[in-house]
Amino acid sequence: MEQKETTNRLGTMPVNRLMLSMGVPMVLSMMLQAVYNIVDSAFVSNMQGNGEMALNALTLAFPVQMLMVAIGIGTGVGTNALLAKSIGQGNRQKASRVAGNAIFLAIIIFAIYFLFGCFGVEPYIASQTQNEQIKAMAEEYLGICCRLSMGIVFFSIFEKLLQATGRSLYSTVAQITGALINVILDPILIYGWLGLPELGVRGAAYATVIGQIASALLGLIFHLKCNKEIENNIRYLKPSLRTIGEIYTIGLPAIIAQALMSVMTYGLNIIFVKIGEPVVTAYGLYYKIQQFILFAAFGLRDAITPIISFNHGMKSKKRVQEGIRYGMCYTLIVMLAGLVALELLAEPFSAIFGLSGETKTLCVQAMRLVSLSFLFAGANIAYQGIFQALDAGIQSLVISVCRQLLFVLPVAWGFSLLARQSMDYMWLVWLTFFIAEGISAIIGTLLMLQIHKKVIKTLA
Amino acid sequence: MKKRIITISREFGSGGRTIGRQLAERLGVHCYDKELIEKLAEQTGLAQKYIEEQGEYAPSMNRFSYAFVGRGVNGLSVSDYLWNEQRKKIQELAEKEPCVIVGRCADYILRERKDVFNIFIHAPQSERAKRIVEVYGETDTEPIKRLREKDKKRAINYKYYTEREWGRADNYHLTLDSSVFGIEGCVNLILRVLDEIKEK
Repeated sequence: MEQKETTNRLGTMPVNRLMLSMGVPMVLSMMLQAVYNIVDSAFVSNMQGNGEMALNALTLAFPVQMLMVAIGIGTGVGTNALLAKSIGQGNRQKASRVAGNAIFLAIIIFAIYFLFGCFGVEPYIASQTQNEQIKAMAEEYLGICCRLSMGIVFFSIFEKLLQATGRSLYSTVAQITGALINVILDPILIYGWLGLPELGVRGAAYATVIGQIASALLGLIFHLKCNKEIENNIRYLKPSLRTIGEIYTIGLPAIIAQALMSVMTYGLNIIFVKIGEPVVTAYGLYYKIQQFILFAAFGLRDAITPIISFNHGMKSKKRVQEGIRYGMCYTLIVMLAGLVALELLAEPFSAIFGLSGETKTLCVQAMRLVSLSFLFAGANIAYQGIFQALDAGIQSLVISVCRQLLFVLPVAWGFSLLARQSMDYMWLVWLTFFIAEGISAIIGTLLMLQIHKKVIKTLA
Repeated sequence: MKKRIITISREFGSGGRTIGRQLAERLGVHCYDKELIEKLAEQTGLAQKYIEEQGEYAPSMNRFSYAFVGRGVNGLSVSDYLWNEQRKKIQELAEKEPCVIVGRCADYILRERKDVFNIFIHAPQSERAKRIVEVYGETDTEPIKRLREKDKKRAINYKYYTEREWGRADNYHLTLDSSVFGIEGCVNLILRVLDEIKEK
């Protein structure tokens, strides 16, 4: 049976080869997601006249977009787990009910985003900036993204429905198609090519949501055509409090873990705007580039967890330790490559985004200084995967909170007070991330030693 | 209808496994307990100790236990995979021959069948605490705490995979307090009950 073959492979294939064969596709798929985010920003930043302000506007909108992704992922994880369990049990009724409830949840979530798009955008943006022009652009962009968010909401669900039945190839195809459409539409709608009006920031928003809707439609088509294990009937959409509770019992921790990113960027936006708008813009752009590299680590993490998890089940001390060793090694190698790339290519990168003057200097400074934290960041992400695999999920959450919240916001705020006096102190602010990741890495190592004693030493 | 399959669900330290083993001996059938674990280990490649633990007990004592386990892209965790294999194996064994099956949600897995008799063995905490120290040799943690821990994890595991409450009277045909009847007493009682319903 398909599943049995894969899981046996987890127990028998040499760990280094296994990690690469499972990790590389995941890394590529995740990096692809990050790339189109960067491309989006590249087009916007090169707009005539107010490219830089537009970039700033996008940065302000980002936390909400990430929160939408977080909720989508969390609901998806819960749905996925429940679905996989029901299908494995041969309980077709239950599987269909889970799928139906997931779609019901999607409708509710979309309604909430829609309402936020109508009423909540203004106060949200106002909390981050006083600049009227930026406010206008940000409100337009975010408003469109929220009111037309059915694409991203439904795609998260269909992606998971396809992954649960082992058809993740289809979900990746749907995702890439949407991303491509977004990228193609970007210049057309932003700059006004092919006879279409020049829509600027709104164009970027439309390109994004159209791409998302395309992905969702493809996801729906694939689901209807291929997922025979699930029966699609309107009656399954009837909400069952119990099923929804089960979905979120598993999904809520995932939402919280992902939402931390959102809280972090929102907090930093507020802290940075007090220093100056160019800082917000520079950070926003830098962050998207950084995500591209971090996503590689996340992709590897998604390979590390099942490998170590299964071999822990096999009580194979040797393979568990190999999993940890290779997982950590490969992650660090990737992060090192990223670090080197950013250090060397900081100037050319910022040129692509048409940055100039202070913003450019800040962005280059960020790329050079923040990238120093990459090795620690990689270690922390790998630790998360390892802890998750050894049923130490709480420890994984602790690392997440440390590196994105606990040591970031207070430290950044403290240094920002200095930077407000004089921009000469700006480099300290960028050092925040090095400090945060560094301390988290120390905590991670301590937790790892503790887990090693408790869990691994006791193995054969 | 003759009851071919007996499932024994039990509280930790109540002697359910011993009862199951002796019952099987008296009936002249297989008792699938340790043997089931061995078969599963062979089939899945997972270690016996893992199957013994994770097959019946949740990883931790809180209700978010299963939120934090490692999952693959398709949403399955290793314990999900194990549970599915357990389910298939138990159904296979029930089809093949009359037997006694201890634990592993067998009462739920075989609920569609008409030839299954479900028994729940329990006992007061004080008695079970004595038993796990004297008979099982569990001396690491304080016995009452250990009992509570095991029972809680069992309940969460059962609920997660079956959506039913573990230990509820209406899941079973017969529940026995092993401290009142003793191990042999329980076995005798069960045999008499099986005889009685055979007549019907």
